Amino acid sequence: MICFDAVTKHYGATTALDAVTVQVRSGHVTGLLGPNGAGKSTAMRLLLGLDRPTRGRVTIDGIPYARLPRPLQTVGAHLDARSYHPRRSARAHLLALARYAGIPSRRVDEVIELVGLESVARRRAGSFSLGMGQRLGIAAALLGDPAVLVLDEPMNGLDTDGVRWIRLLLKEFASEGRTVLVSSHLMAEMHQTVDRVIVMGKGRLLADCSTDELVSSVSDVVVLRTPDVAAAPGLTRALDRAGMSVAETSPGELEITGGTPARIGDAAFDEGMRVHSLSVTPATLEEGYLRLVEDAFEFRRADAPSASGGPEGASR
Amino acid sequence: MMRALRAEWGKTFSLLSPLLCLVGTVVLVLVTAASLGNDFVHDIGTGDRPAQATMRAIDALGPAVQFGLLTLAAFAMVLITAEYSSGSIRSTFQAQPRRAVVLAGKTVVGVVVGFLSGCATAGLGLAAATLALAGHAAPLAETPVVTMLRVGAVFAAAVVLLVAIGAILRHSVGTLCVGVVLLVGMLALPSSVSVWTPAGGAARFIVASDADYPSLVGLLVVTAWAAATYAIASVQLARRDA
Repeated sequence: MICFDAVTKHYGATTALDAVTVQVRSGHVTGLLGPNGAGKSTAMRLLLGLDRPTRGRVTIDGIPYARLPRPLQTVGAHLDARSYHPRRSARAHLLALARYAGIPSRRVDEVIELVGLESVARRRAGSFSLGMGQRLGIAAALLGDPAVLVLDEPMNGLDTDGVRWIRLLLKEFASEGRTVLVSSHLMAEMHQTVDRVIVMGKGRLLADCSTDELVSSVSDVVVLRTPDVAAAPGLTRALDRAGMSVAETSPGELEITGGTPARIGDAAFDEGMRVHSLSVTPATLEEGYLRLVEDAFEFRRADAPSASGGPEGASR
Repeated sequence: MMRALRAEWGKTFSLLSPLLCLVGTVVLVLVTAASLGNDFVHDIGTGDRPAQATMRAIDALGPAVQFGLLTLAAFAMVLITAEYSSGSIRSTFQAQPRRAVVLAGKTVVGVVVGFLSGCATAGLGLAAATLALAGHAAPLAETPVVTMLRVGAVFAAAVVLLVAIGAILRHSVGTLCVGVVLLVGMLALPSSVSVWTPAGGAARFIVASDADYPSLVGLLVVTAWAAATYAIASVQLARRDA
């Protein structure tokens, strides 16, 4: 388990993290979400001991990274697509890390095969595409067969197969009881991959909850199609009275939020409207995330004294 | 620590640039020493010097080695600044978060390589100068082996200095500039000051000059600068964000 305990980090006058307390549980794939400048990368750098917190402590199973007896075998991390010397071969890069960690060289060949770089392992890493660079970074993260996996934007530049491979890999890791923390801006992909989310904004924790909880904070959209265009205003009024919001996207097509197909169907029946289709567009992680971030920042603009705690609450 | 040494040894020789810097150093010293010897002989040929004039090969080697310190500085610098410019320092610190061990690993590898290349460079430089001087080579006060050890020691201390500067500045060009000033440029200072600089200390120790102080003090001067810089680098590295 990764534990951030009242962690604050200042870079000069900039506050990158502001008293963040959160735990990343083992056995889950946890997504770290937030707009640019939210503090995600800072959080990861502090976790890996690359930067020192101004205040507070980050620990892995109770131990700060710098004091881990076997760091690479405990935490595998990939932060930047380019964290290797461009003129060194992929294998030489991994071999140096393995030697530092006392990992046998056969494991280097194993991870090279695992990430599918065996045909280019002896080529200069500087000639790699972004996707190949990502695979090399992920290979480095897997080198120590770690109990904790931390990946920053690992899907960037990967092809469809690669994205799917990462998704399965992360889920498999979590199912083995390991801790997985992954950040990404690809919300659709994250929705499929993560089962818990930590949302950050402007250095603060906005939410720490399950993916389902965040998604259910926004309602599904029900699209109703009818040939009775003239009856639409009547139904709109009825649904409005029932607390739903309705938008007529085109003549005969209504987008309704805040209701279920059953209630909407009943209301249309009461209005004597013929309904040709009622389809549900499930809410997405992206919508939940955007709602949360927008609410948090509007809340803050309203000059609230404490900004931690979005709809899902930061103290969870 | 053994792991750090194995890792850093492998890293050093998995790139071409450190090797090129070392080969460059040997060639530079060899050519400069031979050329200085040749100039001396040429002066005799033109009558600028008496026909019986002789020169010690060590007097050609001394300036040549000082010249070679420029490329040696580049070798030592690459060991650390390449990590910062490529971003691989983050991978390294993840594999070994005890940064003092990383710095020590790089330094020890650099010192061993620097010492051996210093010995080789001095041997080849002396031979080249002696050959170029032909019959005008004066007998040496010390055996070539002692001179080789002297140059090896200077190279080793210079590597420590440069790795430490690299760790402090984290920037190739800056590190090289400071290194060149300390190891060579400071010779331009008045002698009373320059004797206490790495450049002055190295110059006196290599040619075994006891004029200002026993030549061993020259090595101590270089070593003291290197040790002080290394201490600052260790503290900085531990405190700073990577």
